[in-house]
Amino acid sequence: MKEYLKLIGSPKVFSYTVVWLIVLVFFGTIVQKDIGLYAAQMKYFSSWFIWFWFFPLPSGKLTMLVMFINLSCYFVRPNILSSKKIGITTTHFGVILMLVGGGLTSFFSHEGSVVVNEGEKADFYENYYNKEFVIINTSELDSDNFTVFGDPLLVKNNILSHKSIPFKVEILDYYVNCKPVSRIYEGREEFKGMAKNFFLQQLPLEKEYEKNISGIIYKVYNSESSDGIYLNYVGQPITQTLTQNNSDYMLILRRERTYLPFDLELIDFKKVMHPGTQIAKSYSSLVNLIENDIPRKVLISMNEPLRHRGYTFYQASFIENGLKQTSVLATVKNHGRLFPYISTIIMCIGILYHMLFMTSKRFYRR
Amino acid sequence: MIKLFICFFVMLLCFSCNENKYIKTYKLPKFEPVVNNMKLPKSDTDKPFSWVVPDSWIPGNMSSMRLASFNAPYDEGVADISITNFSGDGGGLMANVNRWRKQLGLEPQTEEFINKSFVIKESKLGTYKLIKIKNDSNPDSAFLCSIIEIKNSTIFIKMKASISGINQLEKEFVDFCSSFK
Repeated sequence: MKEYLKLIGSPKVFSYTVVWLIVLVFFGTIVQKDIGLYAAQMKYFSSWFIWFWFFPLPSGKLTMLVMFINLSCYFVRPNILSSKKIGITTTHFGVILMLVGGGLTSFFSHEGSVVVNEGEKADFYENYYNKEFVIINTSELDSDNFTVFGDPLLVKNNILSHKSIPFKVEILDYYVNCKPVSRIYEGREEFKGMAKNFFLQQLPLEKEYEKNISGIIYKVYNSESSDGIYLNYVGQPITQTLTQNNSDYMLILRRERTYLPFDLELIDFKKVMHPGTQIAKSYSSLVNLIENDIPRKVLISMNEPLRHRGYTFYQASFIENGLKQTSVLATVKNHGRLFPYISTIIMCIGILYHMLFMTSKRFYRR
Repeated sequence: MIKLFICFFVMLLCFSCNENKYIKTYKLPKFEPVVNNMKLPKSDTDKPFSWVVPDSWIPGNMSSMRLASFNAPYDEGVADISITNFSGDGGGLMANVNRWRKQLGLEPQTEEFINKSFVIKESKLGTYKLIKIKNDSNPDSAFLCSIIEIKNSTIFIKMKASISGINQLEKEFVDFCSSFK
């Protein structure tokens, strides 16, 4: 066992992983030009493997996991808390803490944007990248029942079903980027709703991943009279509807939504332009943060985000449509937000202690 | 120690394979759209005529002048369709067509030219006139309009889209106009 630990915890392994991370960062940065930031991050850092032709190579996630295990093995060594080694131990702990923070960010952080019109409220934010397929039962008078299928389930040939919906949905095709194209002739009888007059044309991925318009073609079966092929795409102005057992259902493909435990009401949006230009110098949103029916006014400006309940809202952009103004607030919930700061301080203390200790030791030797 | 590691990885695998974590269900109060001093559309029963809306169209933004509005998607965007009804001849065919031409940056035309541009179609309310107005130097904006003259009033149905949008949606628009009864 000790031999294994010695092998896994060898400083050589750490050196190799660091060199490999440098290689990944180098190539990951180069390919951003061609495939965009998000795709490069997913390929080189957020996945476990990169496929180089038919050879799987460790990607950022796997490399950092190896680094984490390698550094953790240090802590089973003897005398790590001795005055001679406490500096190195502290530094190891700092690096491990940074990797833990990275892991938390990778697995649990959420990001997206809240889009809210002046005078209106918003209680959710939409993910930039992930989509979800939503089936809404609208039959109740005062509420709607949502059944939401997440992005990983939106793959070709997958069958979506749940006890809350009386029919099944088979995904015939899913496109990350597409556009609706009008049919020259009306589709066959099995095509229903918008699919009668439109089909989805797959497009190459946009470099800015959030600009992709995802689309889904699906077959509904086991319904009373609505069996057929339908299509949906993100931002579609028409909602597909079905009726089954006297219940009405709406089917929507949209950006993944995360509901907030509070409301944000946009009271006023202000922007200051550079004199004589149409370029925004600064912009800010005066919002009412409403929690438990108690409103609190907060100003969100470009360098002063709103932090509340682990969420951070940054003033990111705005939309103007005539007299109507809309504010776009970038939203992040990151459980590992403080880890880089804390771990860097710990590493500094460890390295500083070790350097001072070694210097004083040399001084006394002389 | 090794057994502990194996147990940990088996648990990790079991949790990773659970597809149900990607399915959520929740209940929300019904969405109530904000109505800012916007006049609600009159019910169909208030009108002496009705129509059949194509499946792919959805109700659009209303204004005080419009009886109804629809949005129709096409390749590059969404077309805006408006239905208005004015008493008498609604200001006259020529005046209206020239007003639309002006909105697209075109010069006014003579009555003879405008009459030649009309295509006559049939609906259950009777014949109606269809006209396509486009300015080739401005492909982003074009109109496809129908004018239905009924007893004591005139119905104007106008679709605004890009030139390519107008071409794509022409069949649906004609079907829609022909469905007036």
